[in-house]
Amino acid sequence: MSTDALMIIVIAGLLSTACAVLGSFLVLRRQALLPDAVSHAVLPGIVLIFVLTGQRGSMLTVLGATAFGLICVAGFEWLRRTGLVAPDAALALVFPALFSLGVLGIGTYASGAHIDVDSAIYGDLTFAPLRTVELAGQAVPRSLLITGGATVAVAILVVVLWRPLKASTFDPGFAQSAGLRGRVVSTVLLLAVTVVAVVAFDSVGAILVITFFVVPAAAAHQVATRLSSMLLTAVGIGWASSLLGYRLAEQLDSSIPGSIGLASVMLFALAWLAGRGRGRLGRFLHRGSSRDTTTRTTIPVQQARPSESHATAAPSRDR
Amino acid sequence: MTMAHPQQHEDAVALSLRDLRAGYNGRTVLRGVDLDVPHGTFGAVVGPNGSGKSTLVKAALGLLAATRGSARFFGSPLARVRSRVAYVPQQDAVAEDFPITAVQVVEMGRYPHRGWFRRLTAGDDVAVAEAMEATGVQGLANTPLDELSGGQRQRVFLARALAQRADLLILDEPFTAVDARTEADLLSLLERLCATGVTVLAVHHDLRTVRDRFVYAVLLAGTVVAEGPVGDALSADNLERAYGIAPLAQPATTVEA
Repeated sequence: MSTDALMIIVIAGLLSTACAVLGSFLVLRRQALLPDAVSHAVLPGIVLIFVLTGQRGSMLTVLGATAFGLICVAGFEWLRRTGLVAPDAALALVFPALFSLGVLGIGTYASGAHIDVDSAIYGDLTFAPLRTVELAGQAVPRSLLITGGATVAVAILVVVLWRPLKASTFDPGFAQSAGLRGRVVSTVLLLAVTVVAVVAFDSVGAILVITFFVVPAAAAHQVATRLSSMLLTAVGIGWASSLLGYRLAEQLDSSIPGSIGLASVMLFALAWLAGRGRGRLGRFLHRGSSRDTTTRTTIPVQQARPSESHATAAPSRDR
Repeated sequence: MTMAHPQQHEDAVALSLRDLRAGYNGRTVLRGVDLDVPHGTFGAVVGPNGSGKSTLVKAALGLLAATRGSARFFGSPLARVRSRVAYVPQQDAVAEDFPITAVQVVEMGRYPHRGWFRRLTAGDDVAVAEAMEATGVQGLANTPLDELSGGQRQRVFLARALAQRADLLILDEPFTAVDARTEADLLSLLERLCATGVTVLAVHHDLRTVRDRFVYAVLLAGTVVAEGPVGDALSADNLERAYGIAPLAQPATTVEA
């Protein structure tokens, strides 16, 4: 395997790590389409920066894209909280408007420019190893730095916010009443999704962003019984998809991000078949799970404060 | 009527609401709610459909922004006494396909004590184990939540509240999607809990159960129609004012909420 090939696989793997971790929370929160919305909504930001500065693919572009991603998420949140429309409809109202604005922008101001549709849709992962920056005298692919940074940032975020993220995703009312700042954490999650979606858009294009966020997470959801194992499994599936997808693209001489997307869907199908107890083959494989093992409530409450004696317990074990 | 919160006897009143107003999307559901839930009582919040029972609980806990008024727990704002107040939401407010085991749910009951970062201690483990034993789910500790029946799930969520070792338990419709045996078990468990000095306040729609088992009741119909000992609060007159009919006069009827 060539260095370039290895580099592409590592970049794709890092990207899917960040995406799969955040995507797991989105899948569980019924917000799986959010990255798709963001990856479309960034287009006017990219066009605007091009019109203003003539640059595309610079750090300024990333900033412009992020700004419009944030506008999309903020608009979605605002519409959702007004309660005027359902959450999914709120999302469907916001991002097509922004995407259309971007399309009009290209047509009006940038038609002669090289903002080509192919790269917006499929991304530039194939050429990622060629676009390098100097770092300590070494030529390092820019995408490696960006995706690596995003992955580290997401890992830190999830470790720091573990309890509030877990509790507010599982049971928002409890999380809020327990002082775990569910709303703040939800906002932070949306911001992180926006930034990572912009990073992903740069590498794999608008269509495949959603694949990186959702498919490994949905696959892991089929087999995991704990949140931590779901996240780790999703990351593993992301890396496996990157490797398999690259191989597939070589064989078919086709798009790398597209092949990675296809590989992850195949892995999802496997996870679905092997999944535990939610129907499918999993029901056959995981029979005999624990039903009807509730033991009768026989112990009078020992909930009482630790100082109180447990002598009040008078078990009457009637089975 | 708007009074100050009763500061002087903060341990006598578990929950105190003053002129509380709340609703959804600009529509006011509850208004002018003044309420003092005595500490140590076994209380129910009852009322017809849309009378604001869940809204009352959510606004008191800050899950829904009150548009007016205030709530105090043991004389303090909730933020200062969170670990003393445990909340069991309605079953459908929980992500039912979340990958989590029963014991992990119960462990969340210790989060109000440990915050975002501090590790759970051996003492926390004891609280978790005792709570699961009390509700009869100790044998299900490592079972994924989505493999449990409705009754088993509710036992797990009650165990989470017990593990918190709070002084006030607030439950929103704890007995929906629960079989009769589980309801009977959980009711007597809550009664025994009260006997140890804990206040219980449950939103409940079954007037019969409330009249037969609870001690204190709040009767709602957009505002507080009556509150006090169950016999007084749920008098025929009060019920007629709240429901427009006399629900308990009809034999074997459950008034849905």
